[in-house]
Amino acid sequence: MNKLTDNERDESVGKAYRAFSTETVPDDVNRRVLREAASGEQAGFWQRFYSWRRPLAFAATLVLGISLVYDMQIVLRDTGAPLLPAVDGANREDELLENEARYDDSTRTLPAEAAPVTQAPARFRASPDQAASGNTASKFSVPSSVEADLPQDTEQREERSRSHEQLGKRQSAPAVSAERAAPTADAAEARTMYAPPQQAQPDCSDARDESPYAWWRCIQVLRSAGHAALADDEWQQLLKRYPDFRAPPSPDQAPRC
Amino acid sequence: MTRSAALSVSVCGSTCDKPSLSPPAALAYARTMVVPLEDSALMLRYAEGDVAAFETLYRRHNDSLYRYLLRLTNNRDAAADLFQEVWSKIIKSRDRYRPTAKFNTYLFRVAHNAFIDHLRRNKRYCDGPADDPDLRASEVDGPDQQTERLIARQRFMQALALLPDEQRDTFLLSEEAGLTVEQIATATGVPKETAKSRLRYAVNKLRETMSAELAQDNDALQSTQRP
Repeated sequence: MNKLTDNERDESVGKAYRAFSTETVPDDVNRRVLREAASGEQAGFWQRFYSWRRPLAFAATLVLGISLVYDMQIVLRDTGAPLLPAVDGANREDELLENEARYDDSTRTLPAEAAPVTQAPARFRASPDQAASGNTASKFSVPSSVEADLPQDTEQREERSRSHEQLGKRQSAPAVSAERAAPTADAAEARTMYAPPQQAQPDCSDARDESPYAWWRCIQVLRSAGHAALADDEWQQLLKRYPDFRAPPSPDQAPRC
Repeated sequence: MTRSAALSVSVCGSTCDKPSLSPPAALAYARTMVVPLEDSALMLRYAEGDVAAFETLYRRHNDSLYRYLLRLTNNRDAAADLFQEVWSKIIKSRDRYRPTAKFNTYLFRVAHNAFIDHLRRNKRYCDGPADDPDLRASEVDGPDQQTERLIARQRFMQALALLPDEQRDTFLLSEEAGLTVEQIATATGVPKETAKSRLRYAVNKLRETMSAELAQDNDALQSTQRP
């Protein structure tokens, strides 16, 4: 037996093998391999190109998205528009500003029939006796002597008495009674003596003179306080005075005058 | 060996050993010479896009690799499939090729692993020769010589086919790839002593099955050129 070293082979066996093993690669196999080698070189370039497709697309999307958001913020900041649209889909601020300009009292003279009513007619004022007694309910009930002058519509009469009754309940009796009962000459003195407290029930008389939006906000306050009838009455007066007025969707959106 | 070193060493060749030539003349002479590049240099060139380099490399090793796979599988179709599979892997991994070892070792390691995978997939290919090319007579021999040669070949190849897979593999790596025992151990993933013993057993068995008649045929075929 031959002893083989690390690099030694049995020469006789090796020679026999090399003599008997003379096969070669078939030509079609050669062609296939060489074709693949040539196409592999071309495909390699495109493989390397397309391997970057996905990360490039992701990076491009990211950059586009960030730039879009950034640009939108700049545009919205410059125009002053809110970042998000209103709930009802309409940005009413422009309309509110437009309406306010239209109803600016300082630039327009109101028609005579829209003059605010600050004092009830004399026939509706309570008598001094009623005022002193503190009977607010009876003070604001329509006197029978006057009732005949009122329209015979029962519904309107009931509504009017209801509104007056609610107003009387809300206000302090002496102050209101004094204001309504005292004659015109004593009105100033009555107001001084029976001036309503600062934190009295909301009254839209001041708001009527400011602007329709202030009046409207006052109406909302009345409504939220539970004075629906009074609020409706005020609303009717507002519409009568400002027929083109359009209520904003919420009080927060009404411009502050 | 670094990539640039492999390229520079392979290009220098024998022209560096001509001191009689001046440097410009040596360079001009070198340009006229066809200096064979090393396998690793050819593979690196192919990785850079030189398809002709791959063809040169392929022509050097295609037949030996094919015979290696043919003897392992004993089936021409399986050998052709594995052959294409091995070169396909070489082609696809060209960008990751690093000349840390001989290209021959790398090539036959890939082939060995492909054969192992093939064994696991389908052992039918190895159970018997579907088409044994050795049974076909050579075209250059006469009728009597064809018979003797055919018989001798049959005996040898049968003995080779009867070897265990590991021993046959080791013997073929030694003969077809020209690998040393250490390189065979690296290619097959076994210790050096294991590879050495496998090779010894394979050679001994083949030698034993060789008859005196086969030995005489070997002497007559010593001058035969391998195509």
